Amino acid sequence: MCAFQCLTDHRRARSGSLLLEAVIAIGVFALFLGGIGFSLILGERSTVAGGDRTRAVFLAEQQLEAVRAMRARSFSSLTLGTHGLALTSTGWTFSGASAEENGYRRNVDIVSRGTDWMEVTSNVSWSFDLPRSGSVSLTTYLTNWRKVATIGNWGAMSRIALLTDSGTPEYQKIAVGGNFAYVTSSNALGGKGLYIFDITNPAAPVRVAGSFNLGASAYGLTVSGERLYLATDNPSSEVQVYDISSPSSLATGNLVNSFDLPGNGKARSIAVYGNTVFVGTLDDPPSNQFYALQMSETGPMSLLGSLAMSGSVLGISLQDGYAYTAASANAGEFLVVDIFDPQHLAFAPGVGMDLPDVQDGTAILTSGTAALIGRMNGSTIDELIMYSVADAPVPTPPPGPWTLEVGGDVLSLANTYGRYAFVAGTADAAQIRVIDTVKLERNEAPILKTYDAGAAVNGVFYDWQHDRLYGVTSSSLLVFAPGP
Amino acid sequence: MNNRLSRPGYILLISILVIGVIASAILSSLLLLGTSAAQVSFSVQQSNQALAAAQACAEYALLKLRTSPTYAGNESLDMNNGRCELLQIGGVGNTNRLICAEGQSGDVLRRLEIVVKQLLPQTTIPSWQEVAAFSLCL
Repeated sequence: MCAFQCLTDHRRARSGSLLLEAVIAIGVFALFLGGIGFSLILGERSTVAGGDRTRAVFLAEQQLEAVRAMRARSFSSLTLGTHGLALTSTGWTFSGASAEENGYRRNVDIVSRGTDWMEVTSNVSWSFDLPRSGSVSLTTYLTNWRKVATIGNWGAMSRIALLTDSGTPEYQKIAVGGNFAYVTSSNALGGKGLYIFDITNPAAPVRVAGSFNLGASAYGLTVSGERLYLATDNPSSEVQVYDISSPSSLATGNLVNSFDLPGNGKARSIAVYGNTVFVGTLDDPPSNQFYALQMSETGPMSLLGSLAMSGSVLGISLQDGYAYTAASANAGEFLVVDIFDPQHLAFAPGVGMDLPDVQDGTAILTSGTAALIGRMNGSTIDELIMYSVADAPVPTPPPGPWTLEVGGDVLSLANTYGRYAFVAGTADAAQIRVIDTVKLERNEAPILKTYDAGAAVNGVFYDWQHDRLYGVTSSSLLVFAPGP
Repeated sequence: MNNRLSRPGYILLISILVIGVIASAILSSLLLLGTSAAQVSFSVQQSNQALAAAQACAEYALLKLRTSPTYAGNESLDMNNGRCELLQIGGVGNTNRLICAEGQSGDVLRRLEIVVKQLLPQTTIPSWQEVAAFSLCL
């Protein structure tokens, strides 16, 4: 009896287990299938969404390139606002407020950031269905650097401003940075070492930072960004670097860095390449006369290297890894230094040029393939010499050299980015001359214009931003403009 | 033993397990591929944004150099979709200037080196190329 009953119960229990197992198995399998489906859909959607975004990025990039192409044709075609783009037979043009292609809506926003400066944002958005929507933006700047600059006719130069100091500032050299002109001076007769002029209106310069006093004489100077580098006769800090981010309120507290060269206050010329400062000094044996310094914004300046030049270094011009110097050495008034490695300064192959007679080299200028050297006055020499440095840093004439009798000391040289050069010095009634270097090279009459400043012009600087020439006599600032 | 192996339920179970493992591997791959596709597209976006930013800095530097040859670089610019940085401008004067610009978006960096043969009167650029690391600028 029990055996039959027990068998029946066991069969009943097994039947229930099978049902439960089946339900669980179906449930597990359903979960598994659900996971499969979800994974398939999620993976597929991620892949598709990634593809959507990638296509949008390339469309956005295409728009930027289209706007660049328009800029290349004409910067003025970049009108402000939100535009769509269309490709026509003449190239890309703005068309409407947006464009649509294969479900992607596209436009560009053009905003002015300043003169000749546009911010361009390329926008692409899409919305195929809810999970497949998004947007991409690329932002860049476009500027009008392709514009051809024009130079006035410097053969018809005229003075547009004269600002004379009633004292004895003894102006030396001049450099321009932005809307300010910086003039060094001797302090022997009460000069303040450095004078600053606001030249926002070049025809009406205004002296600023009038209370500033350098406390020493300054000679060579150069502006690099927001830093003014000075070569001074301060015996304990011949090289001084000022922060000129606010020139109108320059004070001694704006001294960023300085360096005490060997010797005693002999720095006369200075040039800057990046963070490397090159300084020339008066002849002061046993010290060297040419130095390379490392500028630092956070620590003291450091000496990288120096070189003996056998004479004073009165002018430095940097070009293509070489420092071209105007020197006083009788056997080498024009010396070229290899500055590729400032820690190991050396003369360039060939060293330099021994110019006729013994007059000092006083000023130097390099521009492209030419080097101009100015010298002290001499009855048997031409004071201005131009060499070709197209083939080697140290000239190997012929061709050249080409020379010009100046009739006085050459104290400073400047040039436009074109064919004009400006020669300043002591020549009677012609303290400033405008020279056509192309005519000089052709042995034609190169003097286009002379200007009688009534006194020696110690420094000249060409401001290519405003196409203006600035000069200084011992007490006057002069501003010149080209003719029509 | 032979009795157990001969039971058909085991063969079915083992088959389901093997197929399940294979299916799971395929699904995991699909999921990873989908995620990777999304990440790649995002990287492509950041990369293009970084390049656009680097180009913005290069354009800006050219404009600044044309207006002031003493412009020194060493400047950062922030934009809507990235930022860029200009290294120290190389060279002096009107000829042979070097511009190095780095654009950044997220973790992506793009770098441009530009050689400017002449600034004025007309800017001429013989080389404008993307580099993995700067070699012209220190």
